[in-house]
Amino acid sequence: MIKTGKFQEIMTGETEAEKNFRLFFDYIPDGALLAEVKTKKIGFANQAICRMLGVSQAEIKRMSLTDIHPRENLAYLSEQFDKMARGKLSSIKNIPVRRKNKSIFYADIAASPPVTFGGKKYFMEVFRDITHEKELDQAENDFLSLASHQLRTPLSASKWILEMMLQSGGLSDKQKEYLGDLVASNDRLISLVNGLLDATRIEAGEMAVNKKQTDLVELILVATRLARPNLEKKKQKINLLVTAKVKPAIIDPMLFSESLNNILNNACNFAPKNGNIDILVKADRKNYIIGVRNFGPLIPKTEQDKVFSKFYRGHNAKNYQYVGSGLGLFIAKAAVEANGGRIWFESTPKRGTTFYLTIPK
Amino acid sequence: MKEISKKILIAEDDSMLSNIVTEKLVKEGFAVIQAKDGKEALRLARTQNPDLILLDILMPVMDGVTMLKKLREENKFVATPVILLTNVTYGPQIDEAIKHGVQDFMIKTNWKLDDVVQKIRQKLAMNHFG
Repeated sequence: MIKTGKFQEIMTGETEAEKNFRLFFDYIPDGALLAEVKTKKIGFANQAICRMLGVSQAEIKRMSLTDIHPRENLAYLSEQFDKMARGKLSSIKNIPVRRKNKSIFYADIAASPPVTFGGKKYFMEVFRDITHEKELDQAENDFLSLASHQLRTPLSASKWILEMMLQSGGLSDKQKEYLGDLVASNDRLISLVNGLLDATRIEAGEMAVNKKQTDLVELILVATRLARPNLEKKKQKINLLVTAKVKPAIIDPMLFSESLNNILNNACNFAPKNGNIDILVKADRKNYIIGVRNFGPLIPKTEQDKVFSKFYRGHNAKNYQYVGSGLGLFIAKAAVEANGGRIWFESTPKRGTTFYLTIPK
Repeated sequence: MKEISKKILIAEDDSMLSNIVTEKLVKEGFAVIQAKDGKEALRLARTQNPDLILLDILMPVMDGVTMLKKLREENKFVATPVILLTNVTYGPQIDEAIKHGVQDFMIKTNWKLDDVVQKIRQKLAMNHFG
């Protein structure tokens, strides 16, 4: 780190170190400038920032920070620059910057604490042009939107046509059986597409969070009702035990439901026929803790670090004819964390396998 | 006296989906008008005065959200129930549609046609009783 006094000597003097630093400052690929704390006038600028703005060294030294941003952003940006100048803020992201030809690009801006030389205080700003990242983000968003629509359209058509066929009457038992299998197969494909698109959104950082006051117990009851068809197939039973006074929490209810449905679905798949699945709701000082327990196969110690990975399916999954995409727990983890909670599990011979998730109070 | 059927406008560019929904709604006693894009949907809404609109988002010529914005600018459609029937599950289009008074939002792959009919009946009943 360069000390203030040395920095001053470097920016204004003629020593070897000064020349080397000026070379470094001039040739770093990101745009960099020094602006006066008091006036925001640009005192020094490197070649990269001049190229970004389409200005010469002489031109940029006649400018201040307010000259290189669109007018409509100045009120907000002036506040941020003041904070940077006082050393209270070290970076701002996605900031519009105006070139000499009036076109706009976006940059992430990092700032140094103030330094003094020539009797004036300056702070350094480093500009990283994020145009390429924004274009990639937009392309990713467009792909996700299009993919979710294009993949789901034919699946919706199959779903509804099969529904109408089953309701049309005049079918033999065998035909109804085949159509029933087609419905189940189509639903599995829909579930896989939904899982893949959710996973892609998670990795793109596009998980939207809409928090509102939510009745947790009601959502847990809804989840148990949704699980009923799977439970009935394997003659399983859910036991719900609530040992805390549960007040409404400020969370995204859809994310909470998604995480709980995935964990419950997993429990139903691995719990034995005629088995019980326990849902335990308790609380500590800061969180509600929901546990979902089943007494199916334990998760092998060698695989426990992979459980929340994409496409993880236990080695023992095949033995239990569990057909899944391997995305449920990956998505559940992202959904829990987006709601400000934590997810983990315990898997022991005495107590079975329990997945826990927390919800902040 | 025969009860007048409620009129449903379906704005959906995929003809297979539009036809299967129409067939279901007609079987359930509704009168159905089909539009294949947002512009046609707007024109048909103005001439046919539907009791409820099933609206897709991604359509050519004019998308569902633009159609909805223009519809809500006209006084007689301020309170017309609109159900978004789409496969777009997130993003600015959904937020925009909700801002312009969509009564409900159904992802096509997640709902049976029977559920869509139930939702339509629910919204029509709510609208009837204000």
